[in-house]
Amino acid sequence: MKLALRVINALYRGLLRFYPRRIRADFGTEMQQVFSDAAVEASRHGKLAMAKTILKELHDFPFLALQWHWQEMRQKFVLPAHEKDIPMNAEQQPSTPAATLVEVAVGMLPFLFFGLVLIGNELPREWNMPGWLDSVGRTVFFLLLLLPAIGFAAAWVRNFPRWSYPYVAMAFVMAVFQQTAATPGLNLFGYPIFGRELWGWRAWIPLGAAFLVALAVSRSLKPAVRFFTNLWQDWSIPSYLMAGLLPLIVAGAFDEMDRLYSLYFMVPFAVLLVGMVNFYLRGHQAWQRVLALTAGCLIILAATALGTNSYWLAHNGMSAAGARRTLNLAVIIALIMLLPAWLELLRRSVKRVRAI
Amino acid sequence: MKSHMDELAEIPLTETTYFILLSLSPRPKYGYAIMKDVQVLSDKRVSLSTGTLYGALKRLLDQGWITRSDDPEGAARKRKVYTLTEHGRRVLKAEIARLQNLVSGAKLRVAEEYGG
Repeated sequence: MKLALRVINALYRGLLRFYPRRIRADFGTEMQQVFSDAAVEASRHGKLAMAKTILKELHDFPFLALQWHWQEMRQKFVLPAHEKDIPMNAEQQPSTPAATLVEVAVGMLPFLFFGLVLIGNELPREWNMPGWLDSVGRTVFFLLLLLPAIGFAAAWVRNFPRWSYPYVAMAFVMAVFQQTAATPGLNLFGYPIFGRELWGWRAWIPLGAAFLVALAVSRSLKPAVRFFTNLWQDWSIPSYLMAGLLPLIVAGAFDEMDRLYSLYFMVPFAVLLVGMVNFYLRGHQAWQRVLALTAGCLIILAATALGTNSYWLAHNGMSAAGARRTLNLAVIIALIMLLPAWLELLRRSVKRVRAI
Repeated sequence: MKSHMDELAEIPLTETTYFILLSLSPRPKYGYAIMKDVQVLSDKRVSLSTGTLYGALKRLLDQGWITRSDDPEGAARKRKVYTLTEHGRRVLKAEIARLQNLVSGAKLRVAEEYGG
């Protein structure tokens, strides 16, 4: 019987390995001890009692293991930081540490870059820019594809910090957009790129390469989980992610217009975008971050709608219905972009009231 | 400080929780003693596996109904004992009062029907 007890105990020790590590660290020794006591007691009452004790454990084991793993996952990924097992003063307002200066600078980079490209594109040809500046402009176009992809790789390796989300949106949308575009006349240091052919799958090369590099460096798919849990934990992040599309929306809206007219918009837009990112990333409290996003998005979208309407009403005899459609579209985009951030404020208010 | 209303919000208890709290009400106990006591208290109807017992104990610890400390008597085996907290005791009392109400209501009806 002693051998049987030893085998059963060893099996139970093996079973315990299926429970989460933290549970094993907290209760593993005790559970092993209690099971051992129960097995010894059962062995005194014969083989049937022994079998009943083992079957009872086996019967409860799958459900309990799943339940404990679920609770651990919830602790780790789903619950906001202020609801985790970390002791915290209930009266304290949950606040998030602001980004460091380097993070703010990295977060601003794609917006600044897009801003400069937008400004560069609107410089009137009549101003007779030097030839090399034109070459730089063409080369910069490739950076529009590369920079968000590089940002995506860095974001993956760094476990998707807050600053990285616009990079992700830009990287995906640029690839989707470029997939159905041709770039005749575009060359890189004098070499033509695909001529009149559509880019097709090749538009995904920068993002695909970035993903493979990130995977090789991190050797983990966990950042993908972190990407989504961050979105769930702070609903201002989905809004910030979508705000990464503002430069592309603006570029599309002001396409085919008189260059000098667009330039007057692009300069303040670039400043606004960078300012929005700065205030969003440096905000300690949720309301500061939501305010930064709300102000930035609303001003840019309202100015874009009004600016395009005034231009086309004057130059193309745009109908009043057309102008209304543009305004409606701007309102819909603003709502889609900002709704998660506003809901985040509401969610936090509800939690604060409940805590009181 | 939790109010009486808090305890009412936390009942009814599951059978497992009720018997564990009841087992701990006279004095602190370690895991296996709780397991055996629950069997006795429930007239062998509730027989806990180790996993179920510790799942329940962890939840009760998280809720602050019990505490866990080293067992001075079982120092050689590094045993832990579980003790009912004041809040846990109030919840148990509220549950017992609820059960008593149920039983006295039933008794009344039985007395009316069968003239006991």
